[in-house]
Order: sequence, then C-alpha cells, then structure tokens
Amino acid sequence: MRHHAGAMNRTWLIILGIVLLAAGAASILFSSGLMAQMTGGNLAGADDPVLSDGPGVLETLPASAVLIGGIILGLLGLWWILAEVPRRRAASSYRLHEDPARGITRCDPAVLAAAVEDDASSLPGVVSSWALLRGTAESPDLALRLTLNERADVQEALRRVRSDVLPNLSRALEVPLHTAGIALEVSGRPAQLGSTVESTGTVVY
Amino acid sequence: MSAESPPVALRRRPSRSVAATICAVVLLALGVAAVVAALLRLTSGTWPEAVTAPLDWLAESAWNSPGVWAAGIALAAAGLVLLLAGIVPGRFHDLPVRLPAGDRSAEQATSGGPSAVMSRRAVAQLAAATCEHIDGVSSASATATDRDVRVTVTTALHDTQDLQRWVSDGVHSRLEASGLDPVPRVRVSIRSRE
Repeated sequence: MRHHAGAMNRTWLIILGIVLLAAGAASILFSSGLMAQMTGGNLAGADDPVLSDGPGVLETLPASAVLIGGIILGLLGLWWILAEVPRRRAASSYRLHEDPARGITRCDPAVLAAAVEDDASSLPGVVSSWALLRGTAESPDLALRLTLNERADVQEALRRVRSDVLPNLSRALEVPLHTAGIALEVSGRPAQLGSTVESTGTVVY
Repeated sequence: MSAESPPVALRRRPSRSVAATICAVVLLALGVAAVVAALLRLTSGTWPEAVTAPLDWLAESAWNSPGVWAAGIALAAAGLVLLLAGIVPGRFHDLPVRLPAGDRSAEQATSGGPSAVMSRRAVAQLAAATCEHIDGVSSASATATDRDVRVTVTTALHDTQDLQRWVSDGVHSRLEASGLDPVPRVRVSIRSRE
C-alpha cells in the first residue's frame, strides 16, 4: 500500500557489497602472499607492513579533502536513512475542469477516498477499510485495504467491491480506474454489517 | 509504465530496509567522524588520536598478521552478506487472490482489471479461525509464508489421525473458497492434550 525504497536499497547494497567483497578479497590475497606471487613481487608480500609509508601518510592528506569527503558521505547516509521512510504517494488534488478560462473544479482525493471507505465498510463482512487515491483525474489509481471478519465470505466481499464500490468511484470520476489494488486483512473483530451476534445465556422453554 | 502496473506495487518483496538502514547509519557515522577529524586538524593542527591510532596499527602490522587476516575476512564476509541481501529476492509479503468475474459495469470500472492480495498474517488468521470451528479442536494457531500455511492444533482427542485430515481438508477448502490462487500448502501438526 505504501512505497518502499526496495529497488534503491538493493542497488546500493549490491554496490557496497561488491566494494567490500573486493577489498576483503584483495586483503586476503595480500595476507596469503598470493598477490605478490601473481604480480611477480611488484606488490607487497605477506611479511611487508600494510602501510609501507607508515603513519606519515596523514601529513600529506589535506584536511579540506577529508572535510568535503566527510560531508558528502554524511549527506549520502542521511539521504539513504530518509529514503527508508515509506511513502504514501497520494495524489494531489484532482483537476476536473477542461478549460481553466471557463472555471476551475478541483477535488481533494481524500474526499473520494473517504466515500470509497464508507462504501466498502457497508459491505457484509467488512470490519474496516482504508482507501488511497493516486494518479490523476484522467487516470486514477485506487489502493484499497479491506479488513474482513475471519468468518466473512472473502469472494463475496470481493465481488461486491468489484460490482459496487469500484463502479461507484468510476462513475463519480467519469473515467475508468487505471488500476485498482485491493489488499485483504483478516480480523477477529465483528463486521459492521452481516455478522452474527455472539450471545451467552439460558434458553427457557 | 504499462497500462496495468500501479504506481505502488501491491504485492512486494522485502525491501531490505534493515540492512539498508544499518549501512546508511554507518555511512552517516563515518561522514560525521571524518568532518570532526578534519575540523580538529584544521583548528589544532594535529589529527585526533582516533585517526592516528589505526594508521599506526596498520603501519606496524604485516599483511599476514592475525589482525589483518581477521579484518580482511570480516570485510569480505560483510561484503558477501550485503551482496546477497541485494541479490536474493526474498519471499513475497502477500499472497495473490483471484477476483470473481464481474458484470458489465464492473468490467468497465477499471481499464486494467483490479487485483487483490491477502497478507500472510491474514492467511494465517483465516486458517486458525477455520480450525476453531472444527469439532475436536481446543485451540489453533497458524503461521503462513507465501507458499505454505502451518497450522498447530491442540486437541483433547487421543486418536488424532482423523482430526488431522479434517483440519487439513477444512483449511485447504476455506483458503480455496477465499480465492487464494495458488492455494498454499497446508501442514498440520496436532498436539494432544493429556
């Protein structure tokens, strides 16, 4: 129902994984002395120190370069953390007018979503519903989460959504929906309509 | 984007957010550490101890010293874990559900045809709730993956062979009637309460 940064995460994890794996493999090759053998002694052997120049390398390292590198690295990390927050990607207001010179008609998608929720919640077996509209007025996308009672007829609820709820929204917008995704959840709570009432007591004849 | 693909995928695989968040926090920490070290160098003229100590250690250690071996292996292992986290697709969070055929107005309501999924947790709860209505079941719990449903049933019965079949058939038919397509495999384990 929400957008997660899955593709981006995987791309960066693969890039970081390759870099770390290559660095680790190179380190192991140096440690085992294979790197020196393969290069004919041009590179450091297993008994050579890791840093041949010693800690003096720091004296030649410009602090400003480290500062800029640190800022870039920090911003990259911060951007990645912020990208982890799931996004709703809800539609901005739907523009229903054709010619702005003759008048403007805007519709808040949340109003339509509330109507869809109301419509879906009145179906038998539905405990609660949550709707979100994405896309544009010409090509709307509906994401609908339906929570059904655990004893509800799932196919009947879906049939009613398909034959009543989706056509109602489509008629209101006067265009067919681009996509409609329904995510089903199940709950032990009683449905708003069409549920049996549990009771305890004594039957007296 | 094709005519049928929604802007946000309805059925998704793990987004590897734990591994990604750990890496992002490490990157941020390294960035902050580099900035602090560089500022100290610019103000006081010397690099802080936290920077010089590891470099001293690298200058003193040979490539075949145990510490460098361990660091190399740890680096390669971490890289392999991240690479696998990125490559291995992982299980789906939700199971696809078949939608019943609609009438003419239903067909015209969506250009691409609606799609439905049920979460793994919902499938497990549906399976457990079904067991509650089978005679002989004292309590039931279930877990589900995108391929199979494991149902654990507690019963007071001593002969559990028939109950196992009833539970398995009952849950399977309920999941099938709910429209799960394909229907996940049902595995039943019975605990006989003494």
